[in-house]
Amino acid sequence: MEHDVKARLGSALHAGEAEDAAEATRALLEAGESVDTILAVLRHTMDEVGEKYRIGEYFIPELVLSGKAAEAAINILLPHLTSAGDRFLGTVVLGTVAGDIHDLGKTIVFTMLSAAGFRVYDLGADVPAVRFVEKTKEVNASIVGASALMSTTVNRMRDITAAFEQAGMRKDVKIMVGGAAVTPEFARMIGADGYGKDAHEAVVLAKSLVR
Amino acid sequence: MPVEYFNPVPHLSGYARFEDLLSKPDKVEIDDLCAKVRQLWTSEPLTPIQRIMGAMMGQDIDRVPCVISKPEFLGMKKLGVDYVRKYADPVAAVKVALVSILECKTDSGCEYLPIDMNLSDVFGTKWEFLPHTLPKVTEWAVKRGFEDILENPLPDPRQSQALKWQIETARFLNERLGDLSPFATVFALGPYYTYNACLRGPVDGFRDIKRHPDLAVEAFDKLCTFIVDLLRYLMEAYNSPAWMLIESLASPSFTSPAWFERYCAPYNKRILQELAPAPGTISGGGQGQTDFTPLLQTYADMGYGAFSFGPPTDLRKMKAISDEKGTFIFHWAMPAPLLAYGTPEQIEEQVRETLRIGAPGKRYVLSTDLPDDETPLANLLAVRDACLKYGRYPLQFADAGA
Repeated sequence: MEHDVKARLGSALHAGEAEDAAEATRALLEAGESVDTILAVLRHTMDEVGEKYRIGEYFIPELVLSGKAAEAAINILLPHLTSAGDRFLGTVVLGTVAGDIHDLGKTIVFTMLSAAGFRVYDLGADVPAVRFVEKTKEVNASIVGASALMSTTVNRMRDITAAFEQAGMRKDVKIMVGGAAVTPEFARMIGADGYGKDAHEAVVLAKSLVR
Repeated sequence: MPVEYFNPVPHLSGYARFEDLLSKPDKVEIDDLCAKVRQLWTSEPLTPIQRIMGAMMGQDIDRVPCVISKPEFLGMKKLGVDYVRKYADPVAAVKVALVSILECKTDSGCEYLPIDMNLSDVFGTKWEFLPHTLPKVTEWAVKRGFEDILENPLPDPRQSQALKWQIETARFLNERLGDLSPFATVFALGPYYTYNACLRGPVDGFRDIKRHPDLAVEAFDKLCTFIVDLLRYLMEAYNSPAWMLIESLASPSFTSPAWFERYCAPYNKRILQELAPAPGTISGGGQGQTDFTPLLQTYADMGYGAFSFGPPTDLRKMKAISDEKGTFIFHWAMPAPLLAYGTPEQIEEQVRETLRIGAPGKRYVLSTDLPDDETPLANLLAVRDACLKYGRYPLQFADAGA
């Protein structure tokens, strides 16, 4: 029975069906399944989704919908996770830079990082640099992720690295950047600690940054 | 449900024509700016519009056209006009456009977009949603599903006040600049992009398509009717000979070949057929790292007469197709980070290398990506200087064919 529900959760994640994923998660908790086991299913399945994206079997729509399904499952788990900070690989503060309202890519990264085992705080879109600093202080995050889709806003990423310098926190956080308008050269140019070209790379990068 | 026409410029409702908004000093100032633009644009053997149309039509031209995309921030800084005023005040927008042209000496015009192009012009965004930055202006909060599209009449672009003032401003500039008119191309978003980016947003949009593939096909078909009507209307209103269809989300980076075949290609083809034989039809790409290389041949086979893509889409492949089929290339060649942070020397080198590949054959326009507001003017001028240095026909590259 539990095996069936786990399979149902996996299928819902692959199909990108958020309601089914939430329902399966609820059923597993009610059946007494441990949070760790459910998280393992989530991470394993999202790894599969990421791999299918990497090899070109899935595309952005599949990634987006699976991410939203994972988010729905995590939301069910969240009350059970709050007292278990040590279960997280690290804490990430994430947002789209000031002036940019595109949050598709950032939302995918949010869900993929969450599914991969990070505690992620999503500041949303159009986030001023100072807000990244404030939130990082508040939640003691070790990673900051900034996204920009518009070529007209990509340069706001430099404001973020500068804001952390100014706050005297630059050495305490790793800053990773990504989004359609960002390139690896640009990431180096602004002194970011890493660049992820997509959500899959962002997860790999975040894991490497907390090692 | 009746169509709700959103009016982002209610304070203009008492006016009919652009000229009605002009004070005497405004008129003098704009006349002076137009004279200066005229001087700039007649200082070479061909005017910019002759050059761009020449490249589009494969005619003999003096040099590669050099377009600085959306340089309006230059005029805004110089005149102290912020985004809200620029979008709410067509007179300020025209001054900004003319000053921007003069600042960066671009071979193109600047646009006045009160809100955003296409459907969002018509359905509209909440005016209070407008913040003080351009990207927010282009966001559209309205969410409409397949049922809304299929069960309700689509809006008439002629009823849009935002579009009216956009067109009225272009009409005024067209008349003032006469045969120098910079409006060569009008834009529309394709049905797939319209639905997923504007109407529903990608998450809901993708889910809708996955759950209701048959409704998607019907809804996109209906949106096609709107887009064809809009493009016809814009071409007539702008007196523009060419049109461009932007399908950013239909790039191979975002959309599977199967979805492209089902939800994008048929509508692109239909729009092409219905608008034929308008010359210079351009398939639009996306900003940033959207790679359309795997679709270039498909676009050419569909009948597009032009490409409008930038890196990382492979310029060599675009050029190979251009050489074979005469496809015109509007190349978003200069990435925004390079424009903002590069040196004039780096920019010159990038222009030189790009022209070496793209310019032979003359069916090529070099454009920048959309520059950030803090891009140094010196770097934009470096693009133009390098284009003038290396882009004169006959090209002086050792391996250049023409």
